[in-house]
Amino acid sequence: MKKAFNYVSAALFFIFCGIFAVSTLFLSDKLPDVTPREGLAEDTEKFVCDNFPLQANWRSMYSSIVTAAGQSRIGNVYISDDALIEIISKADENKTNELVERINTLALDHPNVAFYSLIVPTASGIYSEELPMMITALDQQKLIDDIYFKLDSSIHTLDAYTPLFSARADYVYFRTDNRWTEYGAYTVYNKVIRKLGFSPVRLSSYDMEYADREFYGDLYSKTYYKGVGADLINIFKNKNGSFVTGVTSWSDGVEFNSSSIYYTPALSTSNKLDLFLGGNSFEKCRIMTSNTDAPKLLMIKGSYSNMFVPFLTPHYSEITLIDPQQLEGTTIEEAVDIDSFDQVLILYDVSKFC
Amino acid sequence: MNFTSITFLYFFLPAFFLIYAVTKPAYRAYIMLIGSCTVICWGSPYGLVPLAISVLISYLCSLCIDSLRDRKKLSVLLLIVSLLTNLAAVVLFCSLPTVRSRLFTAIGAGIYALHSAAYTFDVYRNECEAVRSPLRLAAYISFLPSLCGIPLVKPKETIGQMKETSVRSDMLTDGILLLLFGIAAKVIVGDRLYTLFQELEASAKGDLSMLMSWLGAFIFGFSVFARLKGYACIAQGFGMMLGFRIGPSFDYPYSKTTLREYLASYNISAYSFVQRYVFRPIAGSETNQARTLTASAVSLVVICASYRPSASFLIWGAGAALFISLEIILDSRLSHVPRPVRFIMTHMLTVIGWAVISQKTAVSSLEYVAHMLTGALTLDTTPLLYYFRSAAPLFVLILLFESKSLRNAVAKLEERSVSPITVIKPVLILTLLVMVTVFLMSGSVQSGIL
Repeated sequence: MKKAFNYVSAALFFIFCGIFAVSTLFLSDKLPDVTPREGLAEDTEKFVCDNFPLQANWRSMYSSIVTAAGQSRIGNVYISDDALIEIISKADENKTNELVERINTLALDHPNVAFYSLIVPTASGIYSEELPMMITALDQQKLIDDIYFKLDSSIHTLDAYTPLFSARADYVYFRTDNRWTEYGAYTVYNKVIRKLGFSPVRLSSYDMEYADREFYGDLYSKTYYKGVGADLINIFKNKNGSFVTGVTSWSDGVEFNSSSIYYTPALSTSNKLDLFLGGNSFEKCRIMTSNTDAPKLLMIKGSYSNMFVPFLTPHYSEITLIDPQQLEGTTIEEAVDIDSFDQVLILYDVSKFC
Repeated sequence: MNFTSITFLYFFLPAFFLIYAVTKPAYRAYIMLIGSCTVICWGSPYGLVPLAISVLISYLCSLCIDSLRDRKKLSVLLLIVSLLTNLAAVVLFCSLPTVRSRLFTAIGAGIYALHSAAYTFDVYRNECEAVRSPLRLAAYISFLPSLCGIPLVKPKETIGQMKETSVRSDMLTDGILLLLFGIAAKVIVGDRLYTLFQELEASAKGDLSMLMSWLGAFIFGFSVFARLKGYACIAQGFGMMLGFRIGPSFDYPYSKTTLREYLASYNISAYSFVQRYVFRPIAGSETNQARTLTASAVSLVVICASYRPSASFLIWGAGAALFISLEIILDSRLSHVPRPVRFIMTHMLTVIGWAVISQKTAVSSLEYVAHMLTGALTLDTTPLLYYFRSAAPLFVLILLFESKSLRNAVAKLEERSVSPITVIKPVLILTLLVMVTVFLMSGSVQSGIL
């Protein structure tokens, strides 16, 4: 009797392991990447973790267990009553200095172009006072001030912290993603656009269209915590019609053309925020508008930029976005002629410095 | 390869076990050696260098010692050469930052140098036969289940068992259960407590109150215990699956009333190793208090260096040596102190010890202890309650599994012809497997022991 149960126990263990191992190796959607990156062991462990079956179920179970045990934090994500907040606890000084140095060099090399810097706090910075005192969140206002202090005096600095902090009770950040909402972007636009030399378009001039009501962002994918409701993706449509006449994007040197800044097929993928300018997959993107006499803007972009662009289209004849992260082996100067623009806007969120 | 990873649990372990089980018992030692080399190479192929040095030197020295038994001085010289070379191998192991950082998370630090030294010593004392096969010796020195850093296994028993290992269904099932229990103890309890300790330290920003620093040290101490206990159970379980009987590494340390008892019951294999190969040779058989104290001090230095050669561990070793010496000197007076008072004194000292090794540098260790002794007496209830509430269920779990009554109850049930434990084993195994997979997949697993 004992022996029979022992055999059953051992067999169950090996069968369970065997099924999952075989599924990982042979039934995965993803093909093993044979290009060695970090070494055989690391690459194998990464492959196993990425392809292990029922990923979402395991992680969702983990979230349920830890939240049932009274924890309000999963990794670096804090679970509040109605949102997931990625905690940024400290800045990377070397990274900050390096980035500041690069921005300064760029501005000093092009003295005839007006440079603007907009550093946007993340939800962790805006809601830091509402986080439990046991969670150490970086003072993002101080970090932004420090960065602005280090920037060359020729660069105009734009304040995103104050408008976002004032509107913190509104839907300015996604509940399940670490980026800002269209409304969050509008709030900042409304405050900073005067410094760029324009009057803001009133909120009442926009029709709000719900592009998606079931959006679960990257923080959900990190935690699989189901206690927070789905997000809404809004599109702010100008009542006077779109100013955009054409969008040209480049990815790995290949050109893509479109007539809209909204890439609607993204709504049926897992990266629904790619709706805005196709996400972060392009190294360069040029938006042409009907305001042919208006100035030209070059935007050096981070992950928050795509949601900001729709509000800028009524003011510029051309907006070119450059993503330095996608420019492999090419400098910004090689990718665009900076002196041909009237203004350069550097838009990063705080996480870029952490 | 980390023993608490999906790669180990779902791929290496079943594949290795199947190959091991179908191999003839006479050749299983070689399969174990291949398994050990795979695990070491997974961390860094350079890890094979100190292993090769340890195997080569202990193989040659033990054969020479064995054939030169009548020439005592030469044997002693060979023993010293072997010990020093093994020490050099540990230094080599620890001095290459890239190798060290990758290996320390994958396997236990210098375990094979200690095995090699123990083997040569036992051959010198004629307590173990010199092994004629260098590969078999390599299989002992790099004993696969011990590669997670704990426990140290004795040469005579282990080499003896290697000759006649048999895979038995009862040992296999108990081994799987123990291995899964060990992974659970490490990833569910130990890692969570360690994360809590890190959060507590980060939130205090270097300004811990007295109560918070004590709570922090408690959390850290329990996290180390759960992680060490976890790894010990993994090794014990893995060993049982392969047909080896490895003794337990802990003997209820939280029930002990003296520091010596506590130390002897905490990581038993390291303690008995040091006692056998360091303490006894120095202290000798005479009852000389000065020699005993010196032997205690050296033993503690070796113990702390075997965990991690760092300044914090040396401070811990020095402190432990001081208090154990005081315990020896004041033994007759302390015997009049009521047991509950001694229990509290002992465990307060051990918590201070945990505080010392919780820090990376000597200065921060001393600062932490200063917070514990002279920190502000503020009752910062919100964080205190938060950390206590978060850690308390895990403390309860540890104390529950560390209670003798639970062990006795399980042992009594297992004695029955149809034990309920046997019946629920399949369910237990599957439940534990699912639970550990949940935590291994969560990305919350921390590597290494300390």
